[in-house]
Amino acid sequence: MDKKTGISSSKETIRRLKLLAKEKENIRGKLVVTAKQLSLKARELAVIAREKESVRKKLAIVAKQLKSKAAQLAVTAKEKELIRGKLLVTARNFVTTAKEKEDVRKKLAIVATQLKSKASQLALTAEEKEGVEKELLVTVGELNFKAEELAITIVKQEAILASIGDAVMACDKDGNIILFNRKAVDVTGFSDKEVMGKHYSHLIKFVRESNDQPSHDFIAEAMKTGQKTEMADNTLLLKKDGSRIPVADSAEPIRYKKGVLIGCVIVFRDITKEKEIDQAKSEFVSLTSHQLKTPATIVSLYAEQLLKGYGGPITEKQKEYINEIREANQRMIDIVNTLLNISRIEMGIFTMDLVPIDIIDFLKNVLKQLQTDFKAKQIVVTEEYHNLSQSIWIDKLMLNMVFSNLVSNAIRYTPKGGKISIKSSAVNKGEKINNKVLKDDGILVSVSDNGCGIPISQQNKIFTKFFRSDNARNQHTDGTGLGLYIVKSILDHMGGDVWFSSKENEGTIFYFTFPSNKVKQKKDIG
Amino acid sequence: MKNEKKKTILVVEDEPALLKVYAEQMNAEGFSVLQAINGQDGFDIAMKEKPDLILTDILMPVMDGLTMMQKLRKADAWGKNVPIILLTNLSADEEKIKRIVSENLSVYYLVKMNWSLGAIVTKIKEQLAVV
Repeated sequence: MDKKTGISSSKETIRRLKLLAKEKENIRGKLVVTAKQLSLKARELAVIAREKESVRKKLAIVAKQLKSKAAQLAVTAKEKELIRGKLLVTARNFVTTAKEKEDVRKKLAIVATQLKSKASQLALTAEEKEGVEKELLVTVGELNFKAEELAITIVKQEAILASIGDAVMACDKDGNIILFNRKAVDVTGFSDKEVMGKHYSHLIKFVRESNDQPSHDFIAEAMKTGQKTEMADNTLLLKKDGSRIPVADSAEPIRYKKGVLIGCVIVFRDITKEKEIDQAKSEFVSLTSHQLKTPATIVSLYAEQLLKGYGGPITEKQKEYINEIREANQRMIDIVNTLLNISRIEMGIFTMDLVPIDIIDFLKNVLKQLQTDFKAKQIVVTEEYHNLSQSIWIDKLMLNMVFSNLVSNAIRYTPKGGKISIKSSAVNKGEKINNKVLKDDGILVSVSDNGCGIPISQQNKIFTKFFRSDNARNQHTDGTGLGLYIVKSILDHMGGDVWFSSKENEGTIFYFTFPSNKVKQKKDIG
Repeated sequence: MKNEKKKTILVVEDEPALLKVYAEQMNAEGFSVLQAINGQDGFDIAMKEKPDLILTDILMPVMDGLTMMQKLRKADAWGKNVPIILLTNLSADEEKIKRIVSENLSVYYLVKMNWSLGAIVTKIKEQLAVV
């Protein structure tokens, strides 16, 4: 620093000091003024303070008043709050109610819809009801009509049952009588009151004409086997008064739906008149046959004389012709003999000529007699016999007729080169052979063939007199339709039986039985 | 046969054609033949002529063969023993015939369906040879 600067700064400082003093005077002047002002102000302030105090007091009062007001207000607020709460609840309730209302409304709407649907358904138902009612009305009408028809039917049936020419009796499944028509009363002599509810076997009794012994219980058989049964020929009914009348009878099981056996209907009739007519018929046949036989015999004897040359020498041609006459005549004699046999059987004058025979030898002999016929048709015969323990008492002529008839039929209805099989066996009562329950101990013989068979539709007729099946008639015109009738008649008479099974175009098996011991006993007693 | 006394046979038959053929056949066989047309006729001739053998039909008018035979059997000693051959054709009377035959030892019956004239002749010769 230089000396000039230093001189100048001192000068400056004096000037500044002077300035500052001036300013200080200024400020002191000013401060005096200010003080004066301040004092003024203080006074003013005191006034103000006093005013302020007054105001404060007033304010305190106001505050108190306000506080009281506030408290009041608070109470009011609480009340208000309470009210508000209540209002809220109410409001909420209102909302809920509204919702419920909405729900109810919705539900109601649903119910309404449902009701509507129900209503329409009801309308439909009503319509249907009306329809048903109408139908019911028609049905009732029909039912009334049916009931009337039924009543008529019942009356008719009762009338038919009552007036039917045959005695009709029905049993329940236990054999107790549940129906007994007027004719049954007439025939048996029992009133319906006496028999109703009772077991048939206690009152309605059948015996054999030949020995007065109880006949085979065909009613029990029908109930047991479920098949229709027929009473054996020559059966008598024991009437209430002890008298006996010839009857023909059949028993048919009653079934409910399929298979359930609920009883049995027995139809029987007094055949006294029929028997008389049969007798007269048989006598007529017998007499006529006898008359027919005489001319046939004359033809036969004179033909024999001619052949022997008693009428002079004859040529070969004449011999041939005479033989034709003889053979034709012999056929006629055979037929007449058959008719005679039948009438004798039917008239019951066919007594058995019993001799002890070896039954197997006997059968073999019959087959031997038919050897020519077997050979002519190249038939293969098989024989199968049982071991015979004893000889049997039997009428040879009768048994011959039975066996040779069946074998001849087999030959006749079996084609060339066919097969015939003969079997014999000892059988016992109660045994079942091809659906047939045997009634007695005895001998069973079967003759089977593979011939034309018997048509099913005609199988029930083959034992009928003069019956020939259609296929038999077509193939062989020369049968009499008497063979099987004779077989059956003879076996009935002998206490035997005959039955068969057959299939058309496949063959037939005939079975026959005849009693072995019974006959022997009879002979032993005699 | 020439020098022997011919045996006599009585033929009783109501049917002329049969009577004729029997008679002719018996003649041809060398028998002396008597003919009757029913049982009554036969009985009368038999009692009068006492033949060696009687051949008779059964069913005949007036009197049948069986009745004639029974009458002869009761008539006298000859009648009791004379051989009688019954000709039958298995008529309704067979049982009766069988019974009567069984009571009369010197009676034979022939079933017509089986016989021929030759069989009858054989039977006759058999009987006469025994007697």
